[in-house]
Amino acid sequence: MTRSFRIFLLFILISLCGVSVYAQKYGIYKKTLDNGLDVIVINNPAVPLVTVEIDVKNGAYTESPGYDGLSHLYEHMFFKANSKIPNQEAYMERLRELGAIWNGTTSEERVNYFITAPVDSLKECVQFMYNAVTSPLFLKDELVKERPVVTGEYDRNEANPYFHLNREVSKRVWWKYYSRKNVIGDRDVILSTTPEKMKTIQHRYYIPNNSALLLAGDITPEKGFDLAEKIFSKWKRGPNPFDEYKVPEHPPIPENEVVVVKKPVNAVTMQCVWQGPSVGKDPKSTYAADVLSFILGQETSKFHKDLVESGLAYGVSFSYYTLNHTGPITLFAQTSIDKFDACQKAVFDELKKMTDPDYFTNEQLENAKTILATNEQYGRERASQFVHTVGFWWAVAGLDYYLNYIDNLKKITREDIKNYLEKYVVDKPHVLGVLVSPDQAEKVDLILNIKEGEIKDDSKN
Amino acid sequence: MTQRTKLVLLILFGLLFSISLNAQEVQSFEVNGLKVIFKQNTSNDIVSANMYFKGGVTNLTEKQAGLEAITLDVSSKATKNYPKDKLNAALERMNSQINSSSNDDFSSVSLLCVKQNFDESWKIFTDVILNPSFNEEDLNLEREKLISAVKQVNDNPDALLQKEVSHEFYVDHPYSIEVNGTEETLSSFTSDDLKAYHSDMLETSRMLLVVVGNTTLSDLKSMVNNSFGSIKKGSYVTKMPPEVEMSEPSLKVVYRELPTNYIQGTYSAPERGTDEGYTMLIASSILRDRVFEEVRTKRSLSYAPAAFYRASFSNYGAIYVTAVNPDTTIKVMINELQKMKDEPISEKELTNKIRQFLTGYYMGNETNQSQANGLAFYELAGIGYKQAVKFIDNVNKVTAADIQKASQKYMKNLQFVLIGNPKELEVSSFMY
Repeated sequence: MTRSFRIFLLFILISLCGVSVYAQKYGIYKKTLDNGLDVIVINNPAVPLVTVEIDVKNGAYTESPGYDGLSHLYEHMFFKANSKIPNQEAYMERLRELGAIWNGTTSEERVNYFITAPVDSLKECVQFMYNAVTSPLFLKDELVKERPVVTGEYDRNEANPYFHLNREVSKRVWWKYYSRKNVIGDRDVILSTTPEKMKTIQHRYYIPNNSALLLAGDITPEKGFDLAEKIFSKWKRGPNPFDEYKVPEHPPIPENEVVVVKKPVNAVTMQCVWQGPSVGKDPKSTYAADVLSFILGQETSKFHKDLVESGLAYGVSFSYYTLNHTGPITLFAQTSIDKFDACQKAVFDELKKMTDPDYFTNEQLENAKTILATNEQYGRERASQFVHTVGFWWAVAGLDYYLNYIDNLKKITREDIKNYLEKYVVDKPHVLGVLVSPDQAEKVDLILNIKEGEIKDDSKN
Repeated sequence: MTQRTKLVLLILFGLLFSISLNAQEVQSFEVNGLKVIFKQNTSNDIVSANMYFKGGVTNLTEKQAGLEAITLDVSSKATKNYPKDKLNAALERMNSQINSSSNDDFSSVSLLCVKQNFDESWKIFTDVILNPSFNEEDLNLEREKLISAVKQVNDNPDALLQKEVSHEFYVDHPYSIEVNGTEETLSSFTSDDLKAYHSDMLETSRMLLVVVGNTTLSDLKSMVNNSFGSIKKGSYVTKMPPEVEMSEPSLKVVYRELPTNYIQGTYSAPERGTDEGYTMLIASSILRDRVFEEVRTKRSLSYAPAAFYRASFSNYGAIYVTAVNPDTTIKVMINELQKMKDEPISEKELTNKIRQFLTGYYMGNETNQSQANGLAFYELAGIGYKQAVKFIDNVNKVTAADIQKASQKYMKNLQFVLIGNPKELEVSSFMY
């Protein structure tokens, strides 16, 4: 074979594989348009579908108390009238014509909207999303009608006893700026909101330089970038919202606190939360946190053996939720009332031992990295879901964080994990919440040495 | 472009195309009475291998409720060749995942791994199936967890609703046996019970293996032969659960202090894999869109109105909602049921709906594991895995007349369950 022919073959192979100057890992390709919109294409042609997703750096973290829950209400309003579609009925009709399945989610630091449709609807879907994100009308009538729908979602949350546990703990962990973590929001704020407030959110956050367009599935990067350029380059950039509307830093938890939440439940659940790292400020700790969580999640770990295999708990976990504005570190344990005392003591004993040099083996450390890497591989199998993962990382930590995630995990050492624990967990203030049925609460109070009136009795809410 | 480069291009394109075609091909073979269904997928490095055990709750008496589920659960904790720590360490090193699950119709032990670890993972997977240890301490530990899980169904209104619906709908029916057991039955099982039950399960006529992923037919045949070539065949015959017909509507109220009411109205539905079954899939999906539009979009009565068609061997269709005003909301939903019977849907609505429905179908088949479960369901239900491949063709055959006819035949005599504490309740609103 001649040299020129080899080069030609290489060129052909590269073309077939769809690699371009934007090539990245895992079939993920990124390009930024002139207006600042990040376009991310995820190529996975396993089924003849494509998912079109818009991610916006918005969510609870942008909400002052007067806007508590409005990122979420805005997400609902996205699926309503815009300059091209007169009302929600017509909106849904158009989605059916496109063969599209749709949804949206709101979290602390990301709001996303996505439609999955047959690949032959791709262009229309991209145009549809452009119209929806750039020209919502926030009709008064539609807004008024949507409020009880959102409070209906709120009702469903409140019907779940674990929602109350999480809320009571969160209020104390993020005691100064709770609205910045409270995704579902405040009922009164939701019920009294106006189209003007929706427009404020739109103009502040729904701008291309604060958003990403993700196209995932049976699509090449060239096609995706071309479509994005043609349809989305008209979207006008705006000032970076975080220059003017800064997200305040959560002050530390002043001191250890305990809250007992009384609801009719058939197990005793402990949720203990510390303030953990912010990915932008301390990325190394976020990798260490993930590796540690997956060491402790192994059934061969001391953590699992001492707490679960011993019969003290039905299940335990110790995890970190990656966020850019202080992510929580959460320890969950579930047990019976009879074993609660022994279980809670064992949990805190375990925490003291975590920095011991022999707390985990080298094999468990390496296994944790393998598990994290393979879980990513399993996750990538499902393009219509994987796109949400990529969008989340884009919003919270930046796409490069995700693309380099596995490489950085591999570098994590015992020392890094020890540093992470000492910096965020060992002897650091935390909030312990216990969910228990009202008839067993007295026993929990006694064990935790809580005097009447000292803590909130959530059953009176 | 020279002739030679054209040829190279042609070969390269041909290669890609043939890979794509092969990925769609489903094959089956039999080893010692064990039917194996295999779909090769070389587009990723993942292998999903699943052993299904036929019969589900039809295998159980009331006193045995939960026995199959706990048997498989404990079987994956330790085996003859892989004591607990060795088993866990090996799986963790590879991040190969072995899980068991049980539903009313069948149980399964599943393996998910990357192809590089398939051989080693297969050894553990087959040892879990063939040689579980059933240690007393593992049984006691799992028993406590399972009893707690059974009790906690009462803590979650949605889980409780589904439990109550099942009790109301499947009276004197095999599905009235709790697949996950009760506190009483789970407390009663000994490790000898598990060993005896497992011994009965372990016959190839009662098992089905489905593998989807990046391996080859010849490798798989050899692996299956080595592992399952000499176990007993038996003569297991699946007892299909009967269809349920309701002669009158009903409402059961379970009082709970909740901020909203959880409501489901359930009606008899046809078998999956039949013409009526495909019709009901589309009819339920249309009904879902319509109740969403009428209840949520137009009237703001609920966040979560829905309609669905259960995927089991003996089925029901249902409308579901959480609402603070049950009477008003249910009237609107029942009105939509009536419209399905009174008015044929337009061709446009049908065409759009089928298109949207198939998007959901593809989304449900993105992973090797989900494809394996789909093939297994068709095979175990007696429809045959080859019909699973024709799913799209069969859905495309559904007509507006079929939908109206099926709605008239099935959407009646609703069995309602309401969990909550409604301020007012007009029982007649639910009598449909």
